[in-house]
This record gives sequence, C-alpha cells and structure tokens, in this order.
Amino acid sequence: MRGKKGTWTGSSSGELMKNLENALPEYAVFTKLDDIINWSRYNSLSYLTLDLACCGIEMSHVEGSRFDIERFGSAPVASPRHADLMIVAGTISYKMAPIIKNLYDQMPFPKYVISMGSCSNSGGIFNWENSYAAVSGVDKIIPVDVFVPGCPPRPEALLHGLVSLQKKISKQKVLVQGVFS
Amino acid sequence: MEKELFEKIKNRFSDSKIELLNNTGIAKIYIESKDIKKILGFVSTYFEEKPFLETIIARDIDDSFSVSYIFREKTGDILTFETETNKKKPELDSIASTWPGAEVLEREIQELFGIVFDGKEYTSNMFLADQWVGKPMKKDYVFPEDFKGIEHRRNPLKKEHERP
Repeated sequence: MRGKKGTWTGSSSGELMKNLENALPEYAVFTKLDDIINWSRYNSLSYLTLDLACCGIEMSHVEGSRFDIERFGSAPVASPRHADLMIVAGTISYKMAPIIKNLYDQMPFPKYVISMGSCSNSGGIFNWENSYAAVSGVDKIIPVDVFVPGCPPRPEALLHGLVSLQKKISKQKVLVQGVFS
Repeated sequence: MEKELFEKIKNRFSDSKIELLNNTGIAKIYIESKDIKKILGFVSTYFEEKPFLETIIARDIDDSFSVSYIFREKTGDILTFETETNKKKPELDSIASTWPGAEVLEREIQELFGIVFDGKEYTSNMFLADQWVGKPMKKDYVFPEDFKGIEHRRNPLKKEHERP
C-alpha cells in the first residue's frame, strides 16, 4: 500500500509527515486511527438477510460464485446479534413490520441497512393506493443507509450498493463522533 | 356437463331454490346459502373423484355479499357455485369438513369481508396485521391515516411539492 515515493497513499501528508516517513524504516506506515478502524470495519460486513420476496433470489445470487460478495469481505449470518448490516429485500407487510423493527433493535452498534428493490424502497407496485397489506417503504420503520433501485435489482446493483456503503463507512469519524455509542 | 349436474341436483333437492346462470359465458349454479353444505356435499360424491377446490371468491355487491365456490373436475372442467349472504349478519356454512383446504380461504374471507363461517369467529389474524381495525375489502371501509405509527404514504409527489 506504499506509493512510489514511500508515502502512505491513504492519508493526506504534509511536509512534516514526509520527513518523518523518510526518517523511519520502510515497514512503518502513517495513517489516522479512524482510517485503520474504518478499513477493518468496512471490509468485514456480516449481513443479516431478510428475504421477503423475489428480491431475495437476487440476493442469493450475490452469495454464489459468479458474483461472490465475499470478495468484498461480506458474508451472510443468521443471527441479528452477529450482524453489522441488514439487507431488506422484498415487500414488507404490516404483519412483518414489527418483526423487522425487533430484529433491527437486536443488532449491535454500529449498524447499517441496505434497502433492496422498489417494494422495500417505497412500497413499489403496492403503493399505488392505500394498501392494507404492504408498508410503503422500509424507511417508515427503520433508518436506511443505501437504497438500491430495481424490480428486482441485478446482483451487480446490490454489489454496487454494498461498495457505496463501504465508501460511506470509510468517511465516518469513529473516535470523535462516536459511531459505536 | 354443468347442465347434467344441474338437472341431477335439481331433481334431488327439489324443495330448494337452484338456478343455472349463464349470463357471462361461464355457467354457474346459483344456490341458497342455507343449502351449501347439503348440495356441495352431494357434489363431492357425484364424481368419480372429489373435485378440487380451486378457490373461494367473495364480492361486495351493494347490500349483499356474493360468494363463489370454484371447483375443478378431474377432466379439467370448471364448476362454479354461487351464493349470497346479507350484509347485516353475514354468515355461511363452512365446507371445511369436506374440503379441509377451504379453512384457510374461509379465514381469509372472514378477515377481509367479515363473513363468519359456521359461527366460528377467529380473534387472531392470519393475513392482516394484529389489531387491524375493520374489514378492508368492504366498500364502505374508511382507510386509517396510519397504523401503529407507520403512516400510509399517499400521493408522495404532492407532498414533495408542498414542502417549502
């Protein structure tokens, strides 16, 4: 991860830093503690799957060998207590809404949510008029970080959503603003 | 085939009101709500094999509920039986003793329309959310503003424009 001139490419470095880097041996690297923590965080996102409808099939493709979400360090987990990320894929019914809220509450901080597909984003085709069955968007129940549009989205789209979330996490200030609390 | 069956039923249950309706191109046999168990019980033994219950359809028509039972015979023919129940006290006989699969369909109709089958009124919901008030498929149903704090989004575009 070292650049050509021996500078740490990930962080901004002034004159002082450059001098320091040149003074120290090659295996010493300079970075911010925030960056190192975030780097380890966004490369190991375990996600809780919520396959509620046909989007769940596309999400299953992402775990397969062709798209392989593990390239980005993500893997599905079965328990909300082990999850950093929740991928909500599919139509949310009013019967399911309190269960999703409950699962989200069981996840440890810091936690993130990806909403996948039109139904989960806004109610989709079920939001034409008032519906007694479908909730118009998962953001009515829990906060959402990334919306992935599509009906259903391609697996590439979900991967792009995950990478967008990784970018978002990489910019967070862990130590100052306290994401963990 | 409907005609044969209709004649058979008419001869057997001569004291009840039975009609063969064919105004929509699909023949259906109209029966009174009190005869459901009797006549459909006869239909279940009339054929070589018991016909398959495809679905039960309920409709809200002005001052009554119309309920259709749709069966499929082994040869592929469709049989339709239609009945009515009044809106003030909607009650029907259950056919779940003959077709056990009908119980789920009847329960769904009870939740969405309020028609009670066999006098058994379930208190817990199978399809609607728990503590949902009212029967949403009835025409006089007024949709609530929100349900347990989750608001129903109406006209999202209009809301966007109203924002300053």
